[in-house]
Amino acid sequence: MVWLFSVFAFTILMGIPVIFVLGISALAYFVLTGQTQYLLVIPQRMFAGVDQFILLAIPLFVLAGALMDTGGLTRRLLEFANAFVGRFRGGTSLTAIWGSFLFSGISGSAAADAAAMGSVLIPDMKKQGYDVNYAAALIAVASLMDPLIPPSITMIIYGALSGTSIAKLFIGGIVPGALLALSLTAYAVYVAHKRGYPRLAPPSLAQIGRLTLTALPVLFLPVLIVVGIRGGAFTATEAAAIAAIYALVVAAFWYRVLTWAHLRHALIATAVISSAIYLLIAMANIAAFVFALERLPQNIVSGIQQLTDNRVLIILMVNLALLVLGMFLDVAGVLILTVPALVGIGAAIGMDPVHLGVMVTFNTIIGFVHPPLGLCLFIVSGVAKSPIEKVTMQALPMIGIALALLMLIAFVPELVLFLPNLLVK
Amino acid sequence: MGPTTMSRHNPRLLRAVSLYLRALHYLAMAGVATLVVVAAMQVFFRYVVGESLFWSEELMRSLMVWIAFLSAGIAYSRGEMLGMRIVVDGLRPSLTAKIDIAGRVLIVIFLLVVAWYGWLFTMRTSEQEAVSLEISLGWLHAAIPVGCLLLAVHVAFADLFRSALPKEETSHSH
Repeated sequence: MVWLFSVFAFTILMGIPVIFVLGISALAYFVLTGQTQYLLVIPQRMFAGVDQFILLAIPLFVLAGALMDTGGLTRRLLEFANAFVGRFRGGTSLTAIWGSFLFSGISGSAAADAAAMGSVLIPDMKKQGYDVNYAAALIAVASLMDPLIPPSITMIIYGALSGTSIAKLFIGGIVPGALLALSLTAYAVYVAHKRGYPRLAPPSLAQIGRLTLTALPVLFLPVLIVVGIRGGAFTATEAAAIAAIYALVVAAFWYRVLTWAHLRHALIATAVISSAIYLLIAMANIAAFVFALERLPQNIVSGIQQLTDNRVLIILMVNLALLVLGMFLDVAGVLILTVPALVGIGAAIGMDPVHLGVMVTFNTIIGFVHPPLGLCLFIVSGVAKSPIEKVTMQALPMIGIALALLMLIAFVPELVLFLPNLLVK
Repeated sequence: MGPTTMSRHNPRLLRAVSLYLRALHYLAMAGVATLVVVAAMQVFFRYVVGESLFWSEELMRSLMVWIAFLSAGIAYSRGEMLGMRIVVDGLRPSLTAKIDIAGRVLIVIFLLVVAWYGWLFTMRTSEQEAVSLEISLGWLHAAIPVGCLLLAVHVAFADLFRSALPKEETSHSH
C-alpha cells in the first residue's frame, strides 16, 4: 500500500495527468509487490469499468448540451434570465447566476457551463464596470449548480458506482442547486451595493413575452428529463437519448441555427469529453481493484467505527477527507476510489443512500473551484485572461458559501430527500 | 524521443499525421452519430412499437468503449487530460521541460504494458462470443490494446500531434 501511495504522490507532483497517475500507481504496485499475476487483470478491469449501459447517459447528455449550446442558444437563455433579474442592482451578475441555473438543465457538466457562461458574460460584465476577476469567480462558482441540477454527469457516475437510483439523485439535487443559486444571489446583491455595480433598464412586457417564447424550448428540456425518469418511465440513458434527439430537433428545426459545422463540433466534443471521462473511469477502476485487494474500504469503515460512533463527527470527517482528496483528483477519480468505502460508512451510520449521494456530489464538485486542480477556475481565468490567483481570491467568499451550504445539506437530510420522496415512487 | 524536441516537423510527416487525425475525427463523429441513432431506435421500439431490441444495448456499450479508446489520443492532444501543474510550473522552465519528458516516458511505458496485456486479454477471450451480437468478444476487447497503443504514440510525439490537429476542432474546447 505504501508503494501505491508513494508512486501516486510522486507522479502527481510531476504534473502527470491524473488519468495516468491512477494507472501508473496501480501498475507500479503490482510490479513492486511482485504480484505480476494481476497484470492481466488490468485490461479486464478497464473494460468492465466502462462497459456499462448507464454510462452511455454521459455521451448522450454531453451531446444534448453541446447541441443546445450552438448558434447563440446560450445567449437567448441569458437574455431570458436578464429580463427578470437585470433590473436589480448588479443585474448582470444576477443574470450570470440564474442563467447558469437555467443552463444546468441542459448540460451535465460544470466545465461546459463555466465555458459557455464565461465566454458570453465576462466581456459584458467587464464593459459594465465589474471587476473582471469577480465576474470570472462568480461564473465559476455558479457553474457548480450544473452537476447538482439534472442532468448531472457526476450523479450518473455516483449512481453507477453505488447502485443508487439516478432518478432520485437527480431530483434530490434540485433543492441544493436552487439553494446555491439563492445564496449566491444574496452575496452578489451585497457586493453590487458595496461596489455600486449598475442596474439595467427593465424590458417591456412585450419584450419579456418574446424572450420567454424563444427560451421556452430550451427550458422544456430539463422538465422533459425529470418527468421522463421520475417513476421509472425511462432509464437515465433513455432520457439522455431523448434529450439528445430533442436538442437536435430544436436546434435544427425550431431555431434553425444548426449547421453542419455545428453538428460536427458537437459530435467531436462529445467523443472527446466522453473519452476523457471513460478513460478516467477505466484507470480508476484498476486502482479500485488494488484497494479491494488490500481491503481498504473495509479497513476504513472499521477504522472509523473504532475511532468514534458519533454520527456528526463521522459526517464531518467524511466531508473533510473528500475535500482533501478533491485537491488532487478529478471528481470521477475521487468517486471511483471512495464510493465503496462511502457506501459502507453510510450504511454503518444509517444515512439514506440518496442523501449520501447528493452530499458526496456537492462535496466533490467544490473541487472544481478550489486550487490546485480547480478546472472551472482555470476555464474562467482563461476566458477572462486574468491570473488564476486573482480569480481565486475573489472566489474565496463564494467557496465559503458553498461549504456552508454543504454542511447544511449534510445535517438537514430533508432538504435533499423532500423532493425525491414526493415525486419518485 | 527525438522528434518531440524538434520545433519544426517534416511537412510530409505532418501531412500524414493530419490525415490520420482527420480519419480519427470522422470515425469519432460517425461513432457518436450511430450511438444516437441506435439509442433513439431503442427508445422508439420499446415505447412506441412495444417490442425491445435485443441487440441495441450491447451494440451501444461496445461502440462507446471503442469511441472512447479511439478518441483518447485526440483528447490528450487537445489537452483534455489535466494534471496538477502547480508544483512543476513553479520551477525553472528547463527543469519543468525535463520533468515533463520523464513524465511522458512513464506514461508511454505504462500504456505499452497495458496495450500488451490488453492484447493477451483480447486473444484469450477471442474464443468467446458476445451475448447478443454474434461476434467474438475479442472484437470488443481489442479497443483496449488498440486505444492504448495509439494513445502512447500521441503522448510520445506530443508536439507533432498537437501541431497536426485540425484548427477548427481545437478552437472549440469543452
